[in-house]
Amino acid sequence: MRRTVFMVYAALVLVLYVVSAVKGWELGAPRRGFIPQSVRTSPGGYRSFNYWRGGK
Amino acid sequence: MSGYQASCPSCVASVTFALGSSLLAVCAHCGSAVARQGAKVADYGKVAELIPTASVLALGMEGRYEGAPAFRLVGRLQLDWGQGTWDEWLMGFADGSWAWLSESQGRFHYMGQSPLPPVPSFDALVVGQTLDLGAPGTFVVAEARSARFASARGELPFAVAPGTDLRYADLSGPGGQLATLDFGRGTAAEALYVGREVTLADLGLRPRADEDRRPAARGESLKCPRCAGPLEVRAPGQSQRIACPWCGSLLDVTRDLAVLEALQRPQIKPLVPLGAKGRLRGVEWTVIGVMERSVTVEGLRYRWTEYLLYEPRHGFRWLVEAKRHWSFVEPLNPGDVDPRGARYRGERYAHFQSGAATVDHVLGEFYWTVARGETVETDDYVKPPHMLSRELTRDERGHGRDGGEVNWSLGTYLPGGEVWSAFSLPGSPPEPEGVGPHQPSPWRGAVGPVWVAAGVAAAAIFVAFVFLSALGGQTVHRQRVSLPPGVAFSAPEATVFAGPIFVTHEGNVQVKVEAPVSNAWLYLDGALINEETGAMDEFDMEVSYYHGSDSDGSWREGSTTATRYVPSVPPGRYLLRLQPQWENGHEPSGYDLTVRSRVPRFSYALLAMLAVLAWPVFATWRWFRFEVARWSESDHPWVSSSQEE
Repeated sequence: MRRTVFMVYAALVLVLYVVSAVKGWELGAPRRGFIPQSVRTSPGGYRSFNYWRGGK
Repeated sequence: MSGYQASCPSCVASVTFALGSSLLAVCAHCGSAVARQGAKVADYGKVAELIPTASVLALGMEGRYEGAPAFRLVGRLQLDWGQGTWDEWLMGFADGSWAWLSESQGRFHYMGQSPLPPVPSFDALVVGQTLDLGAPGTFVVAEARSARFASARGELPFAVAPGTDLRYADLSGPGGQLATLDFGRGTAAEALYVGREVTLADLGLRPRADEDRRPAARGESLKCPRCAGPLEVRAPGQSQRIACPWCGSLLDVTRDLAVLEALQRPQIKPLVPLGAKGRLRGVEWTVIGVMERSVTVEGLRYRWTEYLLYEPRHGFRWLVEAKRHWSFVEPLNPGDVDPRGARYRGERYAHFQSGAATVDHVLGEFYWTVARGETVETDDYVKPPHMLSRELTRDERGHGRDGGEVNWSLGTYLPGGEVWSAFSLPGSPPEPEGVGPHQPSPWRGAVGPVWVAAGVAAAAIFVAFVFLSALGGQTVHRQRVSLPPGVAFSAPEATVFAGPIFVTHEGNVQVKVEAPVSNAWLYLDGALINEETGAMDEFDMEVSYYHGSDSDGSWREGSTTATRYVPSVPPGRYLLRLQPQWENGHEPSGYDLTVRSRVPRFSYALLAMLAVLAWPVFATWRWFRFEVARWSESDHPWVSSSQEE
């Protein structure tokens, strides 16, 4: 009985690992935000002078 | 069978020696023992009346055994070893040969004649020693005693006077074989008999009709001569002693309930009452006696209770309770146990404890002459759920230093619920205390296979990691970022927008920075921005590397690389914004940036493997704790008591 429970548990861990690796899950809460399109497309928005220079 | 007729020297009645080799016949008319001496007969004296036993056989019964010629029971010998009487029946075969059929405590043993090899004298025999008997094999001396010729009927193959003490040794061999060395009145062996336990069905015999009519374990009602309390003999003909449940007196069943010892009121409160009936191993047993025994080890007294079970056709068994742990105990043939390694049926048992077990209290009836204070040497060996026990009784009746009897028994652990159910006891069984010596471990048998399964699962996780690494880890952006000389980190020129970065599959994104810092640090405030949706994942990372030397030698700290993972990034077009900071005066010239998609992390694979292995580690720990508790009261504790504290 215990062995069966363990097999199920081990299979779940394996599946969880594969899914998390494929989906790219990470531990911890990511800091997520949103930049409106108006800001993204307006000059002086997040695309600075350096952006157009390719960072060089 | 040939016949020989003679006249009884005492009463002149006709005496028949039906078996050609018979040397003694009991005159059916006057009870004299008539011995053949060549062509003459001699009177060896009167034979006492038969001692009432629970025999189910009778002279004249006919049967057949294992293809041998038909036999008839032509003689009955009763032997008394001081603590009990048993019957030996002489089987006379149609071809003139003979054998013994021993009947004791409801069990039957066929014992045929066998060539006598050289064996030690009676005085040199040691109980427990092994003897090579030639063709029958190697046997263990189980008992060496003398017994008195108490009574007889019919004819016997030897001529000794009634009342003579006869020496014998019972041996136990492999495969349930038994042997008896007959020493007669001397010390040199005179005959060897080898056989095995048989049933009446094996012999083609049917029990006497009057036995058939007697319901199993129906008691004979008597009264205690001391307190007049009602007594019930539940094993008539088998019991030697009764401990009165009312006043505690120990009574001799064989001598009209003579009071042997006026004990105090019984102090035992049996969990299973006297007279209770219960079905165990497919047999309905009756509890006929209760005995409390103890063993003292290092000043500590360990008590347990033994319930004597009886069933007329199966004989006696024991139900043993120690600290609320229960066992069903069956007797073993000593020859089936190899005492050197305590092996039984090919399995080795581990020594648990040795001691001297003493009878403290008795209640009910017993098939031997039990007495309070009776002590036997005990050795217990365990292999859960079984316990192999050896009891050695030293003979105080002059046989010799190691004379007496050795008994082996096999106990099988019983859950309390099974006992309660078998005997229909009210309520529920009391909770067991600690771990029983042969209590099956709930973790045994689970640990090994779980380790194997965990190993397989861990390997599968590693293989999955390697497979995912081979498939993923695609570099989606690589860039050498140069910082203008003299630029301030707060200046817009210092901030980098890397990309466009195309992520084709959902997964994590690895951002790796390698900066040539030396005794300096570079901090980057980053954001991965989806150009299509505006979703932004923010992160930060720091490259920090310091080194030098001091009185202890050279040292280094940190690294010139830093890595961050952005979780669950959907497919799309991205920009990576990196805004740096650095220590004043330590402006880096630039850094290398590498962005990869779907990078499996070994640390997570390791975490998954540890999660899988945690189970067998936990099971092993629980198994270990269970075994430590089991062995804590043995002669071989796994940890000392000081360590446990």
